[in-house]
Amino acid sequence: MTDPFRTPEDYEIFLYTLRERYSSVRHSTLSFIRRGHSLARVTGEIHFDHDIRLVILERLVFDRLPLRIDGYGYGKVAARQAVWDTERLKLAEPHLLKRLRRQDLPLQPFQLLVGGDVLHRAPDFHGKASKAHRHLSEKYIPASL
Amino acid sequence: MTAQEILADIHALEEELLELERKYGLRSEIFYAAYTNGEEPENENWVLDFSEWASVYRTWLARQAEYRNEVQRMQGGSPSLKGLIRAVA
Repeated sequence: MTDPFRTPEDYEIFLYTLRERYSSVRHSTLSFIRRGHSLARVTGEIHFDHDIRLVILERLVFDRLPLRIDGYGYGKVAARQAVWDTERLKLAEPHLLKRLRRQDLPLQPFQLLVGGDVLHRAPDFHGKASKAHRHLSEKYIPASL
Repeated sequence: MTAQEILADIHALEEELLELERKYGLRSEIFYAAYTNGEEPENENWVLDFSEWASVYRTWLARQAEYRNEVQRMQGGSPSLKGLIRAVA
């Protein structure tokens, strides 16, 4: 496929065809919402096997192409009907960078952050999340988990 | 982008800024000055909003500057509204 970040239309198509592209994606509620002339938000959830859900919020800017993700957060992850508090992040923000450093988490431009309990209560979670992350990342999101 | 397109972005961003200003009872410019000065949120639950707020405000500042530049370019040195107004019914 062409670079999904080439134009807003490409990214929109990419988001709305995740299920067709990646077998690990069971369901997606992602919505691409245009704001103003060259702004958009992406909100919603991607559901994977084993009740793993990735909650997504992105702010997109496309006054110049390719479009860029200006801000993002990846939130609550649920596994097996239990929901644990998770963290969202926005890199390059001083408060969050400080927190990441305190938690000794790797600094990557795109990450899934989960609460500490998740890994202990759902031992296989890390593997599932890594797989999902790899599927979603392909060439433009560095693998980090 | 044209002046009208930039203005559409500015209005969309202002809606988001107003929502945050109402939520926290603070004007964005005051918030942003403190935030960029390294002030930490008092409440852990505010961290995400603050990060978002700063990001939206930065984009708003950028669009404001672009709008001013574009209007000045269109005016060609005279403070005229000619060519700037596009009335929407």
